[in-house]
Amino acid sequence: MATTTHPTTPVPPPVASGTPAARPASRARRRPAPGVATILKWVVLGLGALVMLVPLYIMVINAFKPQDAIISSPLAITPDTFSLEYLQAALTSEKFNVVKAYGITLLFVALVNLCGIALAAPVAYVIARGRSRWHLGLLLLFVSGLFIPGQVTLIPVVFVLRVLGLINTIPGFILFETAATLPVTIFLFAAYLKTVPRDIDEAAALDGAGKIRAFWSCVFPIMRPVVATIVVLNSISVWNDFVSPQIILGPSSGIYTVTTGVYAAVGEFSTDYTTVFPTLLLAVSPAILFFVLMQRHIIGGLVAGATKG
Amino acid sequence: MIKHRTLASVGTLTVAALALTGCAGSDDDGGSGGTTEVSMLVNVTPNLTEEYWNELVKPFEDANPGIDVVVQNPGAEGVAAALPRLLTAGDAPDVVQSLPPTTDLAPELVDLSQYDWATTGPLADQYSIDGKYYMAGIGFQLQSLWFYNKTAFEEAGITAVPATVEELTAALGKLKDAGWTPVQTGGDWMTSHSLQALGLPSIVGQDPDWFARMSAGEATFSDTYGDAVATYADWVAKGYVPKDALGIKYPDAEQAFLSGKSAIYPMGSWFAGTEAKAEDKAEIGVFRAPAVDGVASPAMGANIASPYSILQASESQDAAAKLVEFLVTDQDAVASQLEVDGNFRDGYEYEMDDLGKELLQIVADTPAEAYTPTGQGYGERTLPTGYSDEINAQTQALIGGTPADKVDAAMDDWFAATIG
Amino acid sequence: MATTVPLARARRRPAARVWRDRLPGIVMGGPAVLVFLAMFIVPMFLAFVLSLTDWNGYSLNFTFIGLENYAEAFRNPRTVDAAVFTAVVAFCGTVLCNAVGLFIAALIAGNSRANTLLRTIFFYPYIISALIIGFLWSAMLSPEGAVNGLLGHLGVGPVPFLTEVAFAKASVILTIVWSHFGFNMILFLAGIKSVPTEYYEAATVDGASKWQQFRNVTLPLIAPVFTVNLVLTLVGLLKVYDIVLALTDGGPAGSTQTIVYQILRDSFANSELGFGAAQSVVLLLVTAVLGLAVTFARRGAEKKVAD
Repeated sequence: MATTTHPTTPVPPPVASGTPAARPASRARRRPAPGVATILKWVVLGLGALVMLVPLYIMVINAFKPQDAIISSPLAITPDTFSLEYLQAALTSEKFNVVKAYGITLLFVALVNLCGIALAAPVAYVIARGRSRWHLGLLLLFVSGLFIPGQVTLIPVVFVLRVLGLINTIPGFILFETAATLPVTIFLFAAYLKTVPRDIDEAAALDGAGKIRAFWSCVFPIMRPVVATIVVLNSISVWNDFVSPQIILGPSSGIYTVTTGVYAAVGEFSTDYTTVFPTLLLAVSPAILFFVLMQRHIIGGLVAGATKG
Repeated sequence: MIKHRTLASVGTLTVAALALTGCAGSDDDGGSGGTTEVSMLVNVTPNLTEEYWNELVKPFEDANPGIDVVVQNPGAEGVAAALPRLLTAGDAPDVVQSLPPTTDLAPELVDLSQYDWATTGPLADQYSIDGKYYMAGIGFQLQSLWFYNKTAFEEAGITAVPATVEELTAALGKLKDAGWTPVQTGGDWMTSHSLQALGLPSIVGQDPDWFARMSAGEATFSDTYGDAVATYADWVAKGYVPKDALGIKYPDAEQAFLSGKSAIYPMGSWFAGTEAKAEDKAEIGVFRAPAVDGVASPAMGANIASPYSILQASESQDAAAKLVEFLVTDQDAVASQLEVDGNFRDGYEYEMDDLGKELLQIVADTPAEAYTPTGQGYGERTLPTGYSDEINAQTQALIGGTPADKVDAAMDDWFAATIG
Repeated sequence: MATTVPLARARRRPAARVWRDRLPGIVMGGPAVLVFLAMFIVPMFLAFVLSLTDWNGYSLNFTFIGLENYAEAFRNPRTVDAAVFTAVVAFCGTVLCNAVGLFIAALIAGNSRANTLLRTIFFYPYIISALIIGFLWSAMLSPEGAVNGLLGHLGVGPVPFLTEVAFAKASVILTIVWSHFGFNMILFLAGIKSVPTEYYEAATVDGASKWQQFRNVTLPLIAPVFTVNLVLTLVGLLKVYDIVLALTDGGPAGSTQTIVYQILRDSFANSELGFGAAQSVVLLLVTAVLGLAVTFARRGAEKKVAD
């Protein structure tokens, strides 16, 4: 994939880099008939924002209403029928222990990030620094994984895990998820590392450190921005993955992630809105909360990764 | 920014670790100190909740202290879809409920011919394959039934329950004129139930070997089912089957009928279990699904209620056999299962209301030869895998307005492609 | 460490030393390669082998039936319909996601607080699991859901969003776009922001209007981002599953089943692992071909920009 190669410094440029695009809005009055365009723009954006936010709003307010109120007045806030019982029922549901699922999914996210980076960073370094055909071939091998749909490999992977004795276990799941993150991670790491000057390597070699230690102590700390991007991308994809835990961690493991738990709780009774909305609300809240708090870093990380990738 | 991130990651890891220790404590490995664990994969429904299952097996666990029963819930996909996946993953349960044995599945199941309670149970012979018995069930589940709202019939001036399909069509007309929604159906798995209730009594009544002939390609769908499909399309065109039925799911369709919003509800006998528990319900009666005029003995679709099978892969087959014996012979256990799901069996009575008594009467009046499978069938009367889904999809297409001949052609093509 | 060694000297280095030099590289790269082999390459070959059998996934016997499964996949109306629908979703979804993403990105490329807020608002659905989004919209689009309730207040009858075939297909595509375009928008934002301001200043000096600037400066210079967006979205949408499972469960009448939905159903529920594997291989080939084709096609466009 072609990339725009900017001579960039390892630290991403701060998001505020003052493009002229913002300025004309305030100078609009000086230009012929932009007032209408500006108003139109804000109307469009306003409507767009509404379309994005209303579903969230619906989910929140309907989590506290009884079934008939939900059906008859889905958009209204009804203080008289406000009730915490549905939320409570969803929290204490036997089908889906929400808090336990949070913990488990968090654990998975942490483990996959750790393993993924531990595996990918060194090999990306080798690829980025290497000049032979082997190294290019290695990169192509990993990047080809981007084109292999996860579901294609998931079903035969069940057999591979069976042979390894890892089916229905957490290590087996982590193994598969980690592998799934390798293509993107290695690709972004390698692209980033190509822009890191070799002086660092030479400085590390001068210190007499072995190549491996040199990498982790000198080169890796410089990779922070792209590591941040990768952590964001991989965390989102692992947290939201449904098919892999559904198939690798069967009912006898007793393990439910947030997604498989939601499916178990809501899937069968998807018209009992007093179950659906509170469960969805509980499942979504931590992710949204985390996102809102960290959104600058998250989006910033993605932006930085995109400009380098 | 960096410090925040390390803090955040350390924080999340701690939380995760705490949560993990929490669940490490509650997830028992079982099998500690000589306890045999028997896992049972069951269908969890609004009638049969997880709590119900756990309570059902409790007396057995009390009587057998060395055996611990673990109830597994397959979730929204149901037992039928989950079991092949679990078998593939090498993670199969010991006992599986609600799955009728098929020739494909038979090699994975334990042959129960050595057990009396399996060979003499309800519909045991009908479900046998190659003379071997692979399942034991708790009772009869009738399928070809039309439940009706008695008030609606009165208002429409219908004095006797329809005894032929022609009378049924006429009754639907009268109901529509009287302002009632004639047929209550829904958009998930239940759609094809209405078509099969309409067609099977006549089709199998005239041709008891219908399943075998269809599977061998000796008969075609359009030849045999064509009339029923045409009648159904006619009903749709006249508005007897409302188009918006497709948007309703099974629990809501049932609720609509119970609260008196529609006149006739094709469903299996388990509906009686729901009806008995409902409050504020309409006055409901039932009549067996009729055949077209001229068919001597209409067939009656019947399934085994709650069949249990033991898997070959199980490591605790003896314990599993004890569990299944309990579930299909213990008086209280069987009566409880029959009651909760509206099934019937001679000798196992439970408190039933008028609707239940009407159903029991139908069971008493039906000769054994009249029982036929529905859907994909069972035992040696089966149709190719995927038939249930296909006919469901096609019935939905009919309600959506697809013409009858297109549906016939689609089903013929499906059969040709699947058998061929 | 010197990287270019004259060939003459290279032959003289003892083999042991060569391996010792290579060892760190192998140790660093080895684990990743092993894991990748085990979880990608081996399963891919397994899938191909399985696709040549009629195995149901668990029984002890199966037979090799050659390319029978592939013939069936192209013949069976169910699989063909699923493939067509998946293609429609992939293409329409890609076009819409990128169009909307680019449009919104162009509007909020500035750095005001309002734009930052809008960025968050348009992007947040991307971080929610597709399954949850499917359930949420399924509840909202149902005949008694919020959207129909709203339409009812406006005097419009209930729209069969999920119960009529054409509507259901459109609903699937639109829900996917709703949840996904934020990602495209972010990538476009990154591209737009990285265009050096000198170009815009030069264009303004030349008297170009904002629209002309956008067309002649911005668009060409974000061509690489465009490629990435196109490829990622296209490849990603070919694998749509979670949202369809939750929104329509493949209905009504099986009209919104995607290829992955079919594969999972055939491989497990229908106990036709071989058939499912054949479909997987076809999906893999199509994904690879499409991805590479788009990438190479865009390379032409990017070369023009670089010049």
